[in-house]
Amino acid sequence: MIHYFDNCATTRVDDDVLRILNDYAVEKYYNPSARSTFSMHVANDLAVARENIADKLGVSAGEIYFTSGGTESDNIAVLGALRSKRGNIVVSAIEHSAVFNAVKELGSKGYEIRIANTLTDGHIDVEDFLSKVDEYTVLACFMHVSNETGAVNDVKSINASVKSKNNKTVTFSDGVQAVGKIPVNIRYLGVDLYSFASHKIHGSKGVGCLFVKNGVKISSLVFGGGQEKGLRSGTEYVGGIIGLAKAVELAQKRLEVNTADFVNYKKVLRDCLAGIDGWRENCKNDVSPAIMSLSFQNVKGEVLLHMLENYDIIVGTGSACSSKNKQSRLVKAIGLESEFSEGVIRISFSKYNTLDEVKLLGDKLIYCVNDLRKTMLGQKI
Amino acid sequence: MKVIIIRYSEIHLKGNNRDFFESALISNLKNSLKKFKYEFARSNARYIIRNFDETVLEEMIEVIKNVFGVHSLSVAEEVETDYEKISEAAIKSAPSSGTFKVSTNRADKRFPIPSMTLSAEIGGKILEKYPDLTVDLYNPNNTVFIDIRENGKTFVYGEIIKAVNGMPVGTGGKGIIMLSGGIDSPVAAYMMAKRGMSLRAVHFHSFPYTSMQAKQKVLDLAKIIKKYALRITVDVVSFTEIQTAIHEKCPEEYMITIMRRFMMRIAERLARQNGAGAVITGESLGQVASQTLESITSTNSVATIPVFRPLIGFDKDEIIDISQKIGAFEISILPYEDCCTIFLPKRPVTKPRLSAVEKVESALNVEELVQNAMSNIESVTID
Repeated sequence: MIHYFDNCATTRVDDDVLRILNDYAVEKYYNPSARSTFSMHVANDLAVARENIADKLGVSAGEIYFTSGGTESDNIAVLGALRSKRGNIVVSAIEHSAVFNAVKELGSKGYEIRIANTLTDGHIDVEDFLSKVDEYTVLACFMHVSNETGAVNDVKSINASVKSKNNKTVTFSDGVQAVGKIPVNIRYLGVDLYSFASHKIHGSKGVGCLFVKNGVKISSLVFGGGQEKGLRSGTEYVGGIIGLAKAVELAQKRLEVNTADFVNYKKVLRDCLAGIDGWRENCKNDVSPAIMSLSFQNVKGEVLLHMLENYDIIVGTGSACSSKNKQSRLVKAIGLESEFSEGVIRISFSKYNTLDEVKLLGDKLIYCVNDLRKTMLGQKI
Repeated sequence: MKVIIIRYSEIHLKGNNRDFFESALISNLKNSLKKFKYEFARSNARYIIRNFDETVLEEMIEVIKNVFGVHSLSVAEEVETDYEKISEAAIKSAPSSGTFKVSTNRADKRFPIPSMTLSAEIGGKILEKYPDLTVDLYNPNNTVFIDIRENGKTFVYGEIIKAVNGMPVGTGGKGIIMLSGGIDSPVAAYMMAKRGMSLRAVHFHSFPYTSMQAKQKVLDLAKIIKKYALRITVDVVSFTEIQTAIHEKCPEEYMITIMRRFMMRIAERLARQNGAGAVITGESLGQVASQTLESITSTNSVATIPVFRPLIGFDKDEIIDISQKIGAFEISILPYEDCCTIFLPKRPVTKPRLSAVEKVESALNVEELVQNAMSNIESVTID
């Protein structure tokens, strides 16, 4: 059996979602835009899914757009939101690549890119962020939950502060690691644009969602049959979307139980690790219960990850790519001292994890870290 | 009817060995073309491919072009040796602007019009059709070739497509290529395959210190090499025990030198096991610490069979050019840890003395470590 602790990367599809995917793949596979009554039923199911998702997130159905995933939602948000041809874009240093690289693309088109600092635990340095917003700021991007440390940013307050400095600035928060993992009410947060993806919450890959607040204009990057009110043409992945509605519903139902479980899992791991030196938890306050980022001194995260694989344990590395020149933006941003910076691993939980698995993870972590340190710092003649 | 004419390169120089070289080339061509339907015929000093599906013509050319031993190829119209039919085909093969000439080869002397006369007459007909053309007998942009064969058929074509040259794979013995996953080794493999060598590869893998992705990357590179070398098997050697032993028992600065000596020993044993007569490496003089003359001396001294280093005099840029040309570059630069980077010493020795290396190495039970590694090999044949 595989002990999967990389639920930030992706998750196992829930059985209820799988039934929906299957149902709309082999039985109700009709194109919702076609003219038959069968198609009309499918279109209705789609509308219900949209309403359910909107309802769970505190917004209206007309503000919900379906896309092919988090990356596409982020790209539409960043690239489609701009109305003026010049100005500056303020972005936090820890944004996901889907946001960061889309913003960089705008940099090459003449916009000024302002990158706001990060605090040492992965939170956005709000003061620095706000100091970069001015009357020429056209877009501000501040992610909700850091995919690397789990730091939860105070999106509501950042949004309000940005708007009070410049109420024409379009505000966007990437909620890919937030929806279904912490309480999210987009209306309460107040942002103009908000994105998330289905496969992070036991839905299928290939489905994402972008919230666009009523009145916020956004242009399309994909042209075609005019689906999703013209914002994102292409035949809808019906099963995936209805599955997403199910996934959101299930996640919200379990949110309290999950939170309690995950908080306990973290405590169990901390207790386990108390037996060894030279490690730190990269984000302890205002952190998502689902994510635990750890650094180990004198250990390479990727090697530790592969060693854990020997015990059928899957974790993530803190940075997508630790090798050679490609130090993670996050590691740079949060300034981990160098003997810690290579030894980052990310543990992320889901409802399928059990306490026994977490205990096993703790034991094996200690064993592998000790073993690696012995090898890497080995005896010399 | 459209046919492909394939001309071979140096092989015709080989006198009595010609049959050996030719049968290797034919077998390699047929092997490379096995997904296509066609008829294959030998004609003097060339091969003719007939009755293929014209929609896959471009794809077939791409394949043939990359078979070592092929010098060039042409797509020709094969017509009855008949004046009208020849001129019709010649007009079809002619360019519509620029300069041109017609070149006739009359192997069948029964055809009544002499070569020069025929070239001039056909040239005239082409000019009538395309008045924008100019004749240039010495340095034309295009040449229309007319090849009158003895069997009553004539080939007419307007282009000679250059191929890779080299020697047919299988005619140059067999070598073990040390494949690391970097840019250089696939290029070295390509260079030796080009000289007719059959290849087998060895890769040293140090799980968990290197990832399964790093191993997969090497297998992906082997797939690229297979396009040229036609067959390849990769022996994936588990190197973790050796690396940790060296790391534990030898001074850090000798890590790479001693590691490379182990790799060479294992490669040589694999060569002997598999009927190979050489080890091939991607080393280029002075590129990194392990590629100085002194380091190469230390590594080389454990080998008793020839070690070929086809890139020894190449600059990195030249290597990258070939890597891109053969389609390996994009894979080579994927960023996974390879076994050389994980224990990389901060200051490796750049000029190790052999006696010092041997002394340092004596802390290890070399034979036992090599034997353990030899008994822990996964062989992957790329298909």
